[in-house]
Amino acid sequence: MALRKRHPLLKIINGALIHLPSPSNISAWWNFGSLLGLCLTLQILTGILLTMHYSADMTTAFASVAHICRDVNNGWLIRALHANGASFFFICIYLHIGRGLIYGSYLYKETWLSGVAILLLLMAIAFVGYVLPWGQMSYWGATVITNLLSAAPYTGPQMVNWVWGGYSVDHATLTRFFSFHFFLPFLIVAMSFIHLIFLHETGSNNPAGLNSNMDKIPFHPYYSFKDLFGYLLFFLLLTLMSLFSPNLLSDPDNFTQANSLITPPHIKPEWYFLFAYAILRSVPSKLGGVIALAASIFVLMLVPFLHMSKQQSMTFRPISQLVFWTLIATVAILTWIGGMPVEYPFITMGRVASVLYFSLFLFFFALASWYENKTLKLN
Amino acid sequence: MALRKRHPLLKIINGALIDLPSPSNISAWWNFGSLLGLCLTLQILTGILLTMHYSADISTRFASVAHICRYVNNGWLIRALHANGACFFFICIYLHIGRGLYYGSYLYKETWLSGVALLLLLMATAFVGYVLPWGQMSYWGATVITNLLSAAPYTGAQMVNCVWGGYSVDHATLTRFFSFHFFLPFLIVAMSFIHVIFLHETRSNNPAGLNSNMDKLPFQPYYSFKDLFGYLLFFLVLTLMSQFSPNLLSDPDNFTQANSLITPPHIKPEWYFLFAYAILRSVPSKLRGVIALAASIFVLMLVPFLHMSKQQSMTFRPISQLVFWTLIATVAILTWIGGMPVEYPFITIGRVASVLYFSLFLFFFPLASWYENKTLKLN
Repeated sequence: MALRKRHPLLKIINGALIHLPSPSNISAWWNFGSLLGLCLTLQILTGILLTMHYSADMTTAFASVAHICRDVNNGWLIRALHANGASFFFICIYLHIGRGLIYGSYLYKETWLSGVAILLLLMAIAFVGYVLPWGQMSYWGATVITNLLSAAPYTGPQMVNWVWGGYSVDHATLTRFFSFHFFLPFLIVAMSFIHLIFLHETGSNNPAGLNSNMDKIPFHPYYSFKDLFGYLLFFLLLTLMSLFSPNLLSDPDNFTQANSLITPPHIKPEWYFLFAYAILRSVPSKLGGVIALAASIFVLMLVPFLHMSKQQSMTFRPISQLVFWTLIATVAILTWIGGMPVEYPFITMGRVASVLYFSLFLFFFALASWYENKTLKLN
Repeated sequence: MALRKRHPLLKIINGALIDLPSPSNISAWWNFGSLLGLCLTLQILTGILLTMHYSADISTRFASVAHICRYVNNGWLIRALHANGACFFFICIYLHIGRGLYYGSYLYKETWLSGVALLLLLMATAFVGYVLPWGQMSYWGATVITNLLSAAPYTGAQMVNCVWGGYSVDHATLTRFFSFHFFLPFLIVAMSFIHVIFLHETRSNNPAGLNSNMDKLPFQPYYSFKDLFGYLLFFLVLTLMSQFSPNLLSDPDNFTQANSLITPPHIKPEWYFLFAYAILRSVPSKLRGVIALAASIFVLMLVPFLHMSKQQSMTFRPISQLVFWTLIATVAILTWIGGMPVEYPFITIGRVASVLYFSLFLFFFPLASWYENKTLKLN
């Protein structure tokens, strides 16, 4: 038997990347899994290079980032790749989740739920990572979001002080956020392996949502090269952005060092959190807003159990597709609203969009599925 | 079939910690593998807690360690556990290697070689970790050892400046050593999994060095409880040391902040590196000393290929046992010599012990094996 099939380590690689039976019809939407692995590797490598020059001390953090961009050989490139790499990480993961929703891949429940765990870890990492440059938006964004914990009844304010390590976002907060930002990615690595173990129990889904066991092709060379092509496209876009327009997705306020005495007029997170931020601000009550914020991500965990259709994929279900694209439009509107100040007409639009977001997941998908089942007489 | 045997994740845990067939006669020396896993977990946990309060700036690093020990709640304990935990990590790994040498476990070549990789990673991690408190011994130990790279012909001096990030051990060196110290343990975690994968191909050796397939016990409950007992003993000794005598194995010079203008009279590493330090200093030439230093660890890689005996274990081989204990005594003498200044009579004793160290591995072990084979007519 070939070495790659019997060696204890090589056979793991063989079964995942060479001989893995894969459906013959998976489209470009299936590239995002491997792209996410690439993002993770890129972020870890650029991140480790950045930590070799970053200073996690409150008085010197901001200056150390400027030092990296100006004095360290190719530091500007490493920093640009890391910051924009984070944005691309979220682009890929949102498209990956969208693929899972439209093609019903969430029916592989363990894979889906481990994926939600990875999303939560990624959001935590991005949140603490954004604090590290210690700009105005870093400091105030951290203050706003960590203060949300005080909404917890009875122990709230105490928990906030415990997270801060003091009475405000200060030196202790920065050092522990640096610590979290450094080691949580390794948890993502471990979780990714678990995600893949579960995926390889069932094998990949495909656009038709039908059993593909009669038409499988080996991962290598078909999807190894397809993924490689995806990598090339990814790097093209990432380097185009990092080299020509590295600050396109950044907030200009973060070029000012953090100042606890000056509050910026518009505190908002990076674009990938704006939809959740809009949902948070839609609810008048603080605790209600926090619960809605958490629910906006945790609703993904409910999706497998709300699947009503007799078909796995939405490919042959035009009404569900309509609901899906309404969801995408709703998230886009929420992202836009999250970047707007809390004024007329954005407040009302945000509330309508938030209600729509939850009702699409909890009601309209199920309704569309029921109607499609009935029409196609699939009961 | 039971859930633990068919669930994709649980069956991995089951095959490693519950239903793993283990020899019935493995002694206390077989506890050190699981103890090393415990050490790694302990070091990672205490380390992450320390990074939440450690300051990465050169002007405040030393003060931040004092801050941890004095003001952070239980900081003194976390720091003592981490520093002494490193010592215990080395105690366990040296006893683990000794077991491997004595009982011929190195014949499982992949397991042994991945273990040597683990040893090298551990030594690298400990070396960069010791620099972080930025005491006198941290700074000067780092200066001495990183300067050894300059012995490399032609590119040596350039490589040293590349490692330093400057013209001496300075801020840039410290930030990158912090970075290395933080992420290398995760490489150790990954390598440990590879080590255990290879071990479970052959299953454990046993004191007799004979095939034990006819008399295996399940890991749970026999060795799970035996390992748990080992953990309790480990924690007893570790906490005794951390709480009654935390500085027993430390150097008093490290309580003084690093000063590039004042060289301590006796620069020496922590006890676990002293044997290698003695071998390094025995050789008059700088380059050859560095080669000898590297060889003193890499000789372990040659051990499987120098095994001449017809028996795996030394249990029934008294002459090899004599050679083995001579090796242990030699390493003890080298450790003692490494802590002594470079004067009469320590220089000569060190040279004799260094020569003895290498000849035991390369000559006396095979010689003893050949004689035992001949005497027992095992050819």
